[in-house]
Formats: sequence, C-alpha cells, structure tokens
Amino acid sequence: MFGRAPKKSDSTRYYEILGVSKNASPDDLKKAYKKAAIKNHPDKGGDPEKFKELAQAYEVLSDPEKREIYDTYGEDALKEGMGGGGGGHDPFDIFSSFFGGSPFGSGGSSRGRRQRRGEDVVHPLKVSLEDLYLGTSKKLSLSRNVLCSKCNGKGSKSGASMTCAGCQGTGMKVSIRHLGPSMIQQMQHPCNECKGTGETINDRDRCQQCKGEKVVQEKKVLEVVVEKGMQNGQKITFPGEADEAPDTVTGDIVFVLQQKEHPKFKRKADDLFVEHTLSLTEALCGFQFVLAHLDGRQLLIKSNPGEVVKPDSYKAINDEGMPNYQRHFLKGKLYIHFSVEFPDTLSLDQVKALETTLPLKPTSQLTDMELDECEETTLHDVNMEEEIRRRQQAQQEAYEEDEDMHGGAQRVQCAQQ
Amino acid sequence: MATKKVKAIGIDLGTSYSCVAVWQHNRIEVISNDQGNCTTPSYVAFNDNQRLLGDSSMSQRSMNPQNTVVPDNRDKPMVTVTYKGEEKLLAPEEISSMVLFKMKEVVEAHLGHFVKDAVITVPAYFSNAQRQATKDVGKIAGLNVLRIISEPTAAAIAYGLDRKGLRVGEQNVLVFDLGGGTFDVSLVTIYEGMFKVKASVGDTHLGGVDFDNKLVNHLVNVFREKHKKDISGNAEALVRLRSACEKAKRILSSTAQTTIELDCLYEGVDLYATVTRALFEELNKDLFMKCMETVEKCLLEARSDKIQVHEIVLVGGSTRIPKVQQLLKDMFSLNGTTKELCKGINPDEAVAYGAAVQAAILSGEGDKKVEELLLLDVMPISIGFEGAGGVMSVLIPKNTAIPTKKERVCSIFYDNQKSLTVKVFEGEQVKTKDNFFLGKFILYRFDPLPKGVSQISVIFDVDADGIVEVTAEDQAKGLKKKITINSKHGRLSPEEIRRMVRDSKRYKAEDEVAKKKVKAKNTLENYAYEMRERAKKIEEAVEETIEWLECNQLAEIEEFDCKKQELGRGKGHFITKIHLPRQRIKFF
Repeated sequence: MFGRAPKKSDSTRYYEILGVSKNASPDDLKKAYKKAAIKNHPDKGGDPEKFKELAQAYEVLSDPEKREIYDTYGEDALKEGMGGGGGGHDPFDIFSSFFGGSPFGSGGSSRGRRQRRGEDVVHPLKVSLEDLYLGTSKKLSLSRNVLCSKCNGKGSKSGASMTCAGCQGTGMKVSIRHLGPSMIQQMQHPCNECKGTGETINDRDRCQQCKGEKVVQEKKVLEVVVEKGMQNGQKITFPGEADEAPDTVTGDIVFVLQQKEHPKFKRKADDLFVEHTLSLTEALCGFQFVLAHLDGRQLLIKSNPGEVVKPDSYKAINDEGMPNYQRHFLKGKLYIHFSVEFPDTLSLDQVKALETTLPLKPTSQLTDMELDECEETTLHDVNMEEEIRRRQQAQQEAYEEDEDMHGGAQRVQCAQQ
Repeated sequence: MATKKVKAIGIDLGTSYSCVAVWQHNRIEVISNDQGNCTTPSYVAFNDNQRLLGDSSMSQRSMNPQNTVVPDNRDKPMVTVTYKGEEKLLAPEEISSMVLFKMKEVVEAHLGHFVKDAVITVPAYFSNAQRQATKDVGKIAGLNVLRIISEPTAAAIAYGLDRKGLRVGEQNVLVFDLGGGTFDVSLVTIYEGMFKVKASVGDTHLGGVDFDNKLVNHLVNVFREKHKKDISGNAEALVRLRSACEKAKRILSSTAQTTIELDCLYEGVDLYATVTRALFEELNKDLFMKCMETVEKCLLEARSDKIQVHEIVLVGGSTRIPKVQQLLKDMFSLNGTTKELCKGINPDEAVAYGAAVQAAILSGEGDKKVEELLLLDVMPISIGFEGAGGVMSVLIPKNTAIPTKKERVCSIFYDNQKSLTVKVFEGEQVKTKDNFFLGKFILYRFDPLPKGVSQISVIFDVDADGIVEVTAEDQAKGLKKKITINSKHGRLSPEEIRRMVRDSKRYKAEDEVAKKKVKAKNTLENYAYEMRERAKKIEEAVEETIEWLECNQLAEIEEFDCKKQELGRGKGHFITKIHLPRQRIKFF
C-alpha cells in the first residue's frame, strides 16, 4: 500500500482566518470573505500574504467536499491531494526523478469496499410543442433521502456499528417457501432487520436525528430547464440528485420529455408540418392567409404570382421550423401541405367561362360512323370504401364455398390423455 | 498649495481602435483625440518625411498601404516599413508602443500635464507571457504600467458602476466583446463590489476585420466577373476597397442598403455596387454562428445556464451589427420573454472606462463609490507541474483569483532517491507535452530514505501582477529551491527593450522636428500670401496716380504736391504695416 493515511491536523485555522464559526452557512462564508477581501487585497493596501490565506480558506470552505475533508482531516490532507487541487481527484502527484524514473502514487488509500451505485429515478415530463419551441423551465418539488448531517450517514453517535445478528452481516436472508408436499422454493431477499446493509446500531447509540436510519427526508425543488429544440424522449439528467445512502454513489434524477400532441403543427426532427386547404379558386388564382406560429407570431403565407398549387403538394418556409437543440440559432423548415377543395358541380355558364379561359381540351375527332359503333354509357357516383368492403365480402364468401365443397373432411383432434 | 496628484489613466489597447479614459471631476471621462474622436485608430504610418499616428495614419492608408501597419497580436510577425528612405524592421511590441504613445499624447493634451501611470487592458485569454509583454510595451512608450487587466472585467466594471451601481446579491454578467480583430466571451460575477471572471472563451481570429473581408472577397469576385479583371493582387486597390467595405458595414447597421462607389479602382475601371444588409448577413452567416457557439462554450466552462445570466453587456464596435444582436437576444430568450441586451454603455468606451476606474483605485483617486470596488483578477491559464507519466498536475486552475498561493505535498518514487526535477507548465491539456513549458529546477541531496517517506512541498505563489514563483522544499532536511517564472519565451530581452526605448525617444524627437518644419512652412506660406496681397494694393495706387498725371498735365503746382503727398502717405502705411524696414519701393 502506497503512502499512509493522512494524519489529522488542525481544522479550525481556516474558520479563524475568515472570522466565522465552524457551522457557518455558505452565505456567512461569502459575506465574511467579501468583507475581508476588500480590506486585505493588495490593491486596497492590504497584505498580499493575508489575502492569499483568505482566498485559500474561502475556496476550501465554500466547496462542500473540501470542507468535509478539512473538517475531518485538516489542512494537510488537502495538500496531499484529497479533494483535488484543481478539477478532480489527482492521486499521483509525484516528480520524475533526476534519473528519469517512472511514476508511483501517494496520498490516501482507496476504500476497503467498492461503492455501489444508487438507483436512478426516472420521471416523465409532459411538454407542449410551444414549450419546445420557446424553451421553458418547470419547477418540480421532489422528496428524497439524504445522508444525515448529524451523524454523517453512520446512523450512530459514535460512528460504530455492529454486525447484524439476523443475516450475519451479509445483508441477505434466505427464505424457504413450500409449494406443495414435495416441492420447495428457495428465495433470497434483503434482511428486514438491517435493510440489506449488514449492520445494525445499538439503540442507545442511535442518532437522534435519523434514528439510526442514516438518512433523512429532504424536500427539494428542481428547476428543469427545457431547452429550445429538445426532442420527444430526450432526457434531462440531474446527476447525483436521487436518494443518498451510505457507501453508495448517488444516482441521478432523469426527466424524460414527452411531447404533447399539437392540434395544428406536427413535428419531424427539426421540421414542422401544417395542413392547409385551398379552394379551387385559390389554388389556381393565388392565395393569402395568416398562420399563427408557436410563439404567437402571425406569419403571412401567400403564393407567388401566377403560381398554381397542385393538390397534395408541399411548400417550405426556411427557418420557421423548430430550433435545433445543439445550435439554437439554426431552425428547421416549416412545411405546408396543401389540399385543394374542388366544387362538386359547376353551372353551365361557369363551364363556358372556364372553357374560354383555361387551356384547350385535347381534341378528339370521331366520325359519325365511329360514334354509331360505340355503346353509350352513364357515369354514376361510387363510394370507394363501400366498394372495397363489398369486394372483400365477396372474396370471403368464395372461400367459404370452397370449404363447403370439401365438407366431411376428417379433422385432427388433440389426443386426450 | 498642495501638490497636485499625478493622474493614472486607463487605456483600452485594441487591435484596430484604442481608447483612453481618466478619472476627472469626480467621474470617469473618456478623452477625445485631436480630431474629436473618442477612439483612435491603432495604426502607425511611415513615409519619406515622418511617422504618422492616429487618424492621420488612417487617412493616408490607401495611398501608402505597405507602410501603414497595425499591431498584430494574433501572429506576432516582424514588419518591414520604409521610413525616410530606409528600410526598418519593427517588432509588434514596437508598433503597439507607438499606439500607446499616441494615447498618452491624447490625454496629456487634454489634461495639460504629463501622465505616467496607466492601467492597460488585454484580451482575457492573454497568457502570463503576453501580459508581461504588454507591460514591456507600456515601458517602451514611457508609461509606468500599474496593472494589466482583462477586457471583460473592465467592461463589467463599466456596467456595474455606470448603469445600475452596486446592488445587493450576486449578478452574472455575460460580456460579449466583438472588436475589430478579436472576439471574447466572458462570464463575470459581481458580488457587492467584487468582480471576478468565472469563465472566458475567445477566438483570436474573429472580428470586424473578418466581416469586412467577406464583403471584400465578394466584391473582388463581382469585379472579376463583370470586368474580367482581378484586383486581388493590387494592394492599393484592396486597401481602398477594404476601407469602403468597412464604411459600408457601419452604414448597414442603421440602414438596409447602401452603395459602394470607387472611381478608377483598377486599370481605369470604376466599381459601383449596391450592398444590402441581407447580403452582408448572408456572407457572414458562418462567422455569426461561430460567435454564438463561443457563447455556448463560455456558459459550459462556467457551468452556468442561460437562465443564470442576469445581464448581457456588449463591448466592441462590431456588436452594433443588428444580426449579431438579434442572434444573441434569441439565444437568451426563454419562456417567450425577450432578453434585452445592455445598451446603456457605449461599446467603444466600456473597456477604457473600466480600466480608468481600476487606475483610479490603484492611484488612490476616486470617490467613495470607487473605493468600495475590488477587482479580483484571475489566472488566465492553468499552471501546474509535471507529475507521473507526464501528466499535468494543475495546482492553480484557470480563473483562480490572484494573488494566490497553493501547496501540494508529494513524495519520491525510488528508495534512496537523491534528487528530483520540478518542471512548471502552463496550459489546459492533460499531458504536459501538449502544454507550454515555463521553467524548471532540480532539488538535490536528499537524505537516503525509503520511497514514500520523504515529504516534498511544492508551493506555487502568484502575486497581484501575475508573477509566478515556484518553491520546492524538503521538509525534513530544510532543503529549499525556487524559481521565478519570468515568462521569457517570446518576450523582448532587456537589451531589446532599452533599444526600443531609445528608438521611441528618437522617433519622438524626429516627430518634433517634422512638426516644427511643418509649422515653419505654414508660417512662410501665410507670409508670402500676405505679401502678395499688399503688393497688389501698392500697384493699384501707383497706377491710379499715373492715370491722374496723364489727364492733368496742366495742373497747378499745389495740386502736384498734394498728389505726391497722398501717394507717399500710402507708401509709408504699407511699409510700416508689413515691418520691412529694409524694403525699398522705388517709384519713377
């Protein structure tokens, strides 16, 4: 094992430097630091060395992790790399030697038992298309378990714990269930006495705040920021905000976005689709209409002069789709799907007027003799859905007839036992 | 009468324009130059007769493009110019010092007395070496540099002091600094008078010059297609075109359309082009997006969300571009509410304003409002030492407030190891080989001990000016070794600085001679014109008298005498007025 456990040293000097008590709140620390910094900064005629100490003290005490290490092990532990000198834990702080040696580690030893990871908590979060277009934030109140601050998650005043008598410290119990006269089922489940931890706490030593449970309930308000352009099913993760437990890496709270249906707009990735019906006159002679966008803006949509809109065609408007999530300043397209509403009938006058205006019909010259040989027909309305249904019915009957023709065939039956 | 306190000035030393401000009449005043402009071009020009600084260097740029230079803080090239018929090689520091010298002159002309002390601003991403180099520049220009501060911090001070004053609680200000040549985004926290940079991200190759270039390239192509001529190799034409494009860019910030008209641009051909704002925005779309991506990076580095940004402060002339403002506004709009950008501060003056505040603090001037301010300067780049396997062990992370002192206790690797090397690096990469080496030393003569037993303390100490001192100490034996990081790399040597100071004085003396020459020339010119005017009057009087004689041959004696006296009086009057006793005007 490399190095040695950090020795205990003074853990009150930083509090004295800032002039605060050992249980000062983050706000107290900030106020004290600000006041002392203005007084001691070299620009204000202060002592640079004193300012440096102030900055160091404030940096440690304002970081909860470093503050705990400082309170437990003192200043020297931080110098040996616990809590990380900058941006994370760095246990291998050594020098290459004069002889070009290779590395080795120093500092604290690792824990005896590997930490397990706590469960994530997953919540669905319903958002409207407007929310995803504009961006929004929602405040949600959640309650969770946090390590007891009084006993630091030990459950006892002294920090001691005993091996659970019920499960012999394994945390699991084996139960036997009888399923019948000659069958049994063997099941494993967490020990109910120690809740799977393998440890129990003497009643008299039990922490009064958490009553030996090691955790207390905390109500917390999370502000979930829904960025513009987020997708259905996208996850917003709050790392380490799930239930805390001793010797456990706290899990995350994960919100999964669920996009509500919108009456007018449909979304495909960063593009938006909207339906619009034109009259025949509008399709042929031009149209103009106002479309209310997701942010309330009124878009004027109008055709280009002389342009004919065909049924079932699409037109696109750039940069009026959804914002791109990674690059909010980029937007997809807004597609308008056009349907054309044809009149059922036209008056004879209307027919004449249209024939004059529209391009000529394709000519067909049939001689009287040829016409005589043709048989005249009459067109009538059909309902295609009914026609399809009728055709299917006919096929069904044909199939049944086939079956009847083979009537009397032997049927296989399941063997009875 | 009490001795007048010497004022300290604040200088925004910009890539394309610079600005100077000073505490005066119980407030900060931005000083206008001799042309009445609050910003002065960061240009220096050389010709056969003299050196030109400020607006005069700008105005002759198109006629003298090769010898009109600007400080290049991005790539630091040596520049060759022709001065008085001689070729001269100039370092970027020399050119910058000339700009600083001009700013010094501007404020001295305004105040009516000499100034010496100054606070100078630099981009936030400037390394320790670059900051020390800027101090050298100030020294060359004859200034005593009290402090080098970051531009976003100065801008935040201007915002905090000028607009809303000091408010209770913590304020996060995003400083969006888009200047002529560089781009900076920083998040500055203001907490009851304390200013601290939380994060700073920049692009040293993005700014107004790049926007101009897009338009220049576009018009070069238009000219080629239209007239089958390529002007891209003609320096004079390009300078004229670039100047026109810059002007057009400014106009397009307030109108939708403008025209560029350049007579006889190239080989006798005119350029006439209509430029719309939409075209300008389309040409620069990629660059604008790059700006927005940098904003995202800054927030990521600060571990802040958009919702936590209280104010957005615009700095730099290019922030006046409407599209830039629109994109920035859109990015921070949430819940349908539009985030308004902070426009109460003049983008060109904010940085100099803040620098002047800091100058007032350091020199003991200012009122109670200023006294309560504290600027927490920060380390621009992380520093640390080389650890196991070439890993960068960061001891002082980027954006740590200075002055600061950090200690790390380490141990040796081998049993009975007798020495170790401490190598100091600067940078953000995980491996030291990808970072910048600053210096090293070796600690000798350890007592023979098993590995892991010996305790070596490594202490990094940074003073308020960013000077780094590294100490290693064997605690048991009391062995100690230290090194002061002077950031010599890329910096001028003391000999070079002394030479440049001498050169600077010589340039100044030559400028004085040139000024006197111009003055004498002007005096003579005025004198000659005056003489010509008076000569005309004498000639008129003489002609008049001669005409009278021709018409009055038979006049009486008294009349002849009277006319003579009349002419004589006029002659005497002329002679007396122009103070030429030796002049002889003879009439026959």
